Amino acid sequence: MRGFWPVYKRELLSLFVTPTAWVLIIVFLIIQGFHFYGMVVHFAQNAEMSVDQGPVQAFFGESILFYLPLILLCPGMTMRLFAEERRSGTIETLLTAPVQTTGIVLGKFAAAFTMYLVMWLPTVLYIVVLRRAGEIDWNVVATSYTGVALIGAGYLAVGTLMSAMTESQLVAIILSALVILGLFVVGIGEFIFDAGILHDFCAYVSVWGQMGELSKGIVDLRRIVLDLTLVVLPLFITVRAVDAWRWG
Amino acid sequence: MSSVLTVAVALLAGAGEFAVAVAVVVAVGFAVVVALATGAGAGTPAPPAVLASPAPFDGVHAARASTADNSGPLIRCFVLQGETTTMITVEGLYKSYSGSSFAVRDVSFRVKKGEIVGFLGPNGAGKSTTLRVVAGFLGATAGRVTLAGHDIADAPTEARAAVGYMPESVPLYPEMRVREYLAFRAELKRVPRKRRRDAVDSAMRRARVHGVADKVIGHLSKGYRQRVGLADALVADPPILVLDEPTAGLDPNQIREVRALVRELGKDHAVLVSTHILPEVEATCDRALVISKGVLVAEGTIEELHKLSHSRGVRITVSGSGEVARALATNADVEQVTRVGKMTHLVTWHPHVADAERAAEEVARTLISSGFGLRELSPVKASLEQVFAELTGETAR
Repeated sequence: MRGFWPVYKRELLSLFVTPTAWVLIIVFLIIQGFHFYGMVVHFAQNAEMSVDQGPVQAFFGESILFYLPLILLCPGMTMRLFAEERRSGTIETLLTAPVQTTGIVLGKFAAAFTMYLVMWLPTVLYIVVLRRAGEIDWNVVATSYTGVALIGAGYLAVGTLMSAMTESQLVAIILSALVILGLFVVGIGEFIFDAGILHDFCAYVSVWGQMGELSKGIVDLRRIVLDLTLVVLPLFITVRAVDAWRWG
Repeated sequence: MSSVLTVAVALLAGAGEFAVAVAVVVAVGFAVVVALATGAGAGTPAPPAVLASPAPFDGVHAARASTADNSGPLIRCFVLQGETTTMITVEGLYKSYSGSSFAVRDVSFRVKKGEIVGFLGPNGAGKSTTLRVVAGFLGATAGRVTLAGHDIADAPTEARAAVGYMPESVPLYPEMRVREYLAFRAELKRVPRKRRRDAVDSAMRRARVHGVADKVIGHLSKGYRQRVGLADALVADPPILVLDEPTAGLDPNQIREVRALVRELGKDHAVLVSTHILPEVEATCDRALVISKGVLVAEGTIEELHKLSHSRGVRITVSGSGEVARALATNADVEQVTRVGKMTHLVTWHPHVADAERAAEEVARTLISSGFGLRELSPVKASLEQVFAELTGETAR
């Protein structure tokens, strides 16, 4: 873990003194702003509501506008983590410092994850706005944001790995977007296949299904284990990949 | 069907303990992440078997021997020193990128404290590869590297902590300010928080970048960036400095400054400097290692390298008719006779010639007995450049 803090701090600084973070956050908030607006207008026009079918559920679980920004923006947050260091050669000074690869990888990942959380932070205001118009179940809000954090962590871990695979940020962003899109599409299989093993498998890995449950307050440990696997496995491979450069 | 797998199934929201449950799950998950990842770090892949005897590399050795034959005498003058002052020890270093060919073959040398060693060779000879292995960026395919007593394979972080390394292109983060960058590097190199500020200040003073401390690195000139790289190498005050072409791309004044700084640092550090410029070695280094095509072809002090340049042959001016080359054909000491003027010839010695003066006498005797009039005979001293060219197999003859 040696090297975690300095790398984490430097990555955050780099993210926020360059336009990257601000551009991504602004794009995200514009999309989510429209998303939320549409949601509220929709529910304002449909007065009949059931208990587990409100704006919060719809915002977090039932709209493509929730998933699309994740698929497109998460790769943008991680693309430069390693690719830029390799392109500019700074990886050489970084790896010759007395630090451990694990510290570097986790520091970089944690910085991207912090930025991701900062990006979501203003959306809490939406909930506060809703609070003025009706009842809010804060537990459901908590599970929803837990889901947001878990899924985002997985996507960012995949992006970190892809960034370590190439020197080109463009290749990194495309690869990670493809992998994340792939994971998402496999989940869609739940609605395509008839009941059977394929259907169950797709339902199990479905991000959509997971957010649908979490936005209704249902926490399934299996899904959390899957999410954490999606965080740990890519990061583990990243550590190995970075170490492998030394022997290349 | 999956009820067996269900460890804790669908927990409906509502109660306060729910939040606690989420917190516990997240905390446990995170602990797993950290534990696994740390384990991964501890299990850093070991270098592929350090070879005690280089038996599997017979082909390589043969190649090396022939290279040495073609390129003049191989001088090896290890100045043996007490273990306490030897800072860099490289033994039988091999580095292969592809698995079939070697970028560096059987390189061994030592650098002790208070010594500046120049690592000399043409571009692509394996200088940077060797320095990268010494600095801990690349792993050796075979061989041992010990830095300040720490084996780089067994104790990589300790070994790397002993080195201040400046890579060839001096990569920096353009978006950071100089002071920020050096503070980051100091923290990365585990300079204690209390001393960090002083360490950064003193490194900036030594590398003379304190004037641009608050400038963004991306806006600095090449010369300043080079010196920021030097300041980075110095910031943790390591006993070993490894500088890869520290004067590349600088103007003459800056080159003088950097050389002066390196000389000053050489007083209390072990310094390994690579360069492909000979005057640089003469100006700054106590000793030089000459590498060519991945093989160390010469090692010695600057004086010893100069000695190599003596008596590479003789220049003779003769009168009379006949072929000088034919007359000297039977002389075993003569490698080649080249006609350079109407009556002037250049006679070069075979590399095995030990006593050049005796060989010159022999040539004179042969020529006179063959009926030539010997008007002039003078030893030819190659410049250090020529020695370098010959050693590295890029003879300019």
